Amino acid sequence: MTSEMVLRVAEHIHGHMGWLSAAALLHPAILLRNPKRRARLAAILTTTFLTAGGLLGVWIYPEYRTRLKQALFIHAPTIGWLFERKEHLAVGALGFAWIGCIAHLAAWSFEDEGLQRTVSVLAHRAYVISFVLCLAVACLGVVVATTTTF
Amino acid sequence: MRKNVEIGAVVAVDALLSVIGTYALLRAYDALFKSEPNPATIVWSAHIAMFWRLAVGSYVAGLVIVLAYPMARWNLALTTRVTAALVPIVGAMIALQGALLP
Repeated sequence: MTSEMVLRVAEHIHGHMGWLSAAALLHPAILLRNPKRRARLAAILTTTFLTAGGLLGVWIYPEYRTRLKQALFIHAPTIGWLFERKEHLAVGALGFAWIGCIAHLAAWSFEDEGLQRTVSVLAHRAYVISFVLCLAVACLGVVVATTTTF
Repeated sequence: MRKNVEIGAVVAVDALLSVIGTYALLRAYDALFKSEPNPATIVWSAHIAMFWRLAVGSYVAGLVIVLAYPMARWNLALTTRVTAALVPIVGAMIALQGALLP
């Protein structure tokens, strides 16, 4: 069983990474408005950072269920349901960041100009969706973290 | 080679969309049609529903790859446009499910 101290540190890092991910996602979400704009490094770094934060969350999640979930739902069920919302939206944020990254990196391989534009627009939309979801996740994360912690 | 990258990217995006879409549909189904126990009454459970939904989503993604790959080889333009149209739809699905059916 992981020590409480390690979990508390991991939880704080996870929370900070969430907000930094939201800030990082804003970069491709703005840059890729222009379908001709290339931002490979921004796409790769943002998606990698978000994925790292997500994986940390996945690592903490079973411990949250074991140690905190029941008490949270007994004392503050509204906050408990906010945490559940956060988890669902985080899946979307992570998935759409990957979609944006793959689409952006592959867009320039498309020989047909029309399709290249379609894929570039797809990448932009995916990053915008990911940003909105990530921002919601970060806000909900703060609300939950101020109520309960390891 | 270039053609393979085009097809691979579209199929990968379809696979990821299917994971997210399946996750949203499974959770929405559970929330709407299953009588779940109150989380306040559960001490611990070996079944982690979130991971289970992601696993089922990955399985569906495998099926989608089998369907999307030949479709993309047959008509890449059509498959790409359908995929692009699905992005906001799946985005709305996960956002609505996350917000309204936790």
